[in-house]
Amino acid sequence: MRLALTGIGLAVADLDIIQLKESSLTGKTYQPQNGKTDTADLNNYFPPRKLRRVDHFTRMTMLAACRALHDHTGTIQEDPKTPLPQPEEMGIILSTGYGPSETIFDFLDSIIDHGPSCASPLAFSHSVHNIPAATLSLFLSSESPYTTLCQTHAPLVSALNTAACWINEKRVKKVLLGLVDEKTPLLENNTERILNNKKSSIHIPIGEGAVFFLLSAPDQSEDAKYGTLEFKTVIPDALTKNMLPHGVFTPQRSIKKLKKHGIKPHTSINADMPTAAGIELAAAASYAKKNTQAMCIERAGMNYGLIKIKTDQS
Amino acid sequence: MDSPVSICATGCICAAGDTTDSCFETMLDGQVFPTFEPEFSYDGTMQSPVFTVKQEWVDQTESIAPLTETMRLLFKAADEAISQAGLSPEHIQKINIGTCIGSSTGASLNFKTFYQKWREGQKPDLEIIHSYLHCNPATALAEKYSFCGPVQTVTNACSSGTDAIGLGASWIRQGLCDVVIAGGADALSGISYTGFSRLMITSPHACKPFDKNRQGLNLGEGAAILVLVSEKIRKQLGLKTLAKVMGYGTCCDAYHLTAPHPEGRGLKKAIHEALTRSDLSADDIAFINVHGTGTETNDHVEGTVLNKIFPNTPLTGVKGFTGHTLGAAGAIEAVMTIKSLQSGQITPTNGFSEHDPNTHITPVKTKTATNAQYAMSNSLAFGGNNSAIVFKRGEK
Repeated sequence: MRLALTGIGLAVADLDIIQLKESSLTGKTYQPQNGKTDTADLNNYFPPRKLRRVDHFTRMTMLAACRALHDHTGTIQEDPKTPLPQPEEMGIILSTGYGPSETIFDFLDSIIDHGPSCASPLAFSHSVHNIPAATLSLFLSSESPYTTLCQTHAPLVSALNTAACWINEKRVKKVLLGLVDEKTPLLENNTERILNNKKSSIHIPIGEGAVFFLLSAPDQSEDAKYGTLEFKTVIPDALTKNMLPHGVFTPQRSIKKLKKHGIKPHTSINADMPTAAGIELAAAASYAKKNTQAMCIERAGMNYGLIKIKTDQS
Repeated sequence: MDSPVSICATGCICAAGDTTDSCFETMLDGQVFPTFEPEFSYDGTMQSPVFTVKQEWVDQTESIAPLTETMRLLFKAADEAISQAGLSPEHIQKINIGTCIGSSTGASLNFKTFYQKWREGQKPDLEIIHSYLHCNPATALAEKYSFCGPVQTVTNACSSGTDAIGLGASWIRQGLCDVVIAGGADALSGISYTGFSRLMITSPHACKPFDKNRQGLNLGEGAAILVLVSEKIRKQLGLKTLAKVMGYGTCCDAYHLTAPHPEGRGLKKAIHEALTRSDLSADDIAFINVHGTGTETNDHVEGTVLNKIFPNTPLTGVKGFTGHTLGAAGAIEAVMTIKSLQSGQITPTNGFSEHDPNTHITPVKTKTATNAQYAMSNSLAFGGNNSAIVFKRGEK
């Protein structure tokens, strides 16, 4: 499957787009500072009053999505009155490992604190998995298809497959594809306990954030600001045959496994989240822009998803 | 036009039965009544009966990581479908099989007791977390059968099942895989029950879809699977085509997070898209399996849209037999639509008795004969998601 990559937007804790680009070129791995993603900039995109009920997960989603739209056109958002450069017939795909966790816990809090008969209906409706993507559609007034995928199994490659299907079948001309996960105290605590029980020596800090990609048909090469993505899933034995010599990116949690195959990938941030491959694809795209090609590898169960990026120069 | 995709086997479990055939037989000639369950009633103001699956219908064998109830339902439906398709371990090893499952509560972090204990500073047993991590619907199903194709859990609330089938058909058309195990699953959840009750859209009685006296929905549980097969593999394995997926359309209202657009803007577009992609007109659709939850708003909007586009087409809804099974609903309704196409009989709309001028439509009240070649199934969801899918009758 192939797609043109035409825009990237990032809203990640402890990593901005400039740092990501620098990391991709210098090989530096950023260390998270245990922070939450700063989404204050979203107030420049939409009136704060309209955003007052929007939760953190959805704010990260919307901010990264809007940044990807501007990145595509090379424009910037001056204030909420600046019209978003939104392509026509653009579908939305949101892929997440755990979904909007904090809003689910908000609803559980309201049941525990006030009893089921007084639990918050608003917290319930916001806790449904497709609400972040629906909110984005609503704010963009987009009536095009949108979908939400929830899985820790290859969330990036799965979402790319759906995007390619939609574009190839001409359901939409473009897809705004995002990978989003949020950090919660419960997730951090559970992870720590599970690792301790396993007596694991590896401890990767939990990360959070959203990264969005604007994608179109691969034949629209004039549109492909970052080149063309070519992706497939391969068995481990096929891995080395398909590798590129330089510019291989993968989430921190996959590095050890890949080294066993003789591959020495780079990771841009030492943070663990199910959708971390999205950040690494953004890093790979920055690398490919300077070096004509790169690859992002995402684990898919026992197999691997390979996403090659090639620019026009290659 | 999208090329049709063969459906070669189905599986289904819900309050109406534990196989495709038993569910359909119950809907044709039987009755199902929702019951008040202790876990799903809190006080006098919130009680709503639910449609439960009988415990003895589901394999209760323990596994290393405890299975969620959603997975038990999904495995039951998948076992039936895979067995009917005759997919042996040898086939599974050789064929690229994808897994595309819709779910709502099945992928949600709904572990209230664990969360409450953790909030109180305790260290609750991690078993439920391990269970959650091992029970993502599509991933766990693919692992159980060692399917090696693409894996996707679609979480589009109440349209998840329909969307999973539509996406699965795209995978076949695009050559991503040769077989797709597509469908949906959701078990009853106390958290969802509370949420729907607090939204004031559950009925204190058995639901009455499209009826003048409807008072809301009843929740239910279940799972359904459709085995979608490429022509190459279908011929290779000598499989019979029960039905075909024709066009599928999905569109967003972009209007409100929990209420449908008052004029059904997204639903109209989704239906139009499904028809166009099937290269059919509204007149070609012989009957429609509606979403029909029994809520005031859903039935008003859906009825208004259907009356405009399909003024003379018979309509049926199954939620009076199943309850609203959320992420499984679209898949169960797809399987029942296929059974109706095959058998030439439309199931009655259980719960409907009196026409409501506000919904503009009158669904079928009794078992109705049909010689239908094409039928449609619709799903509307939270977030303004609307999906429609057209099926063509296969070999009898």
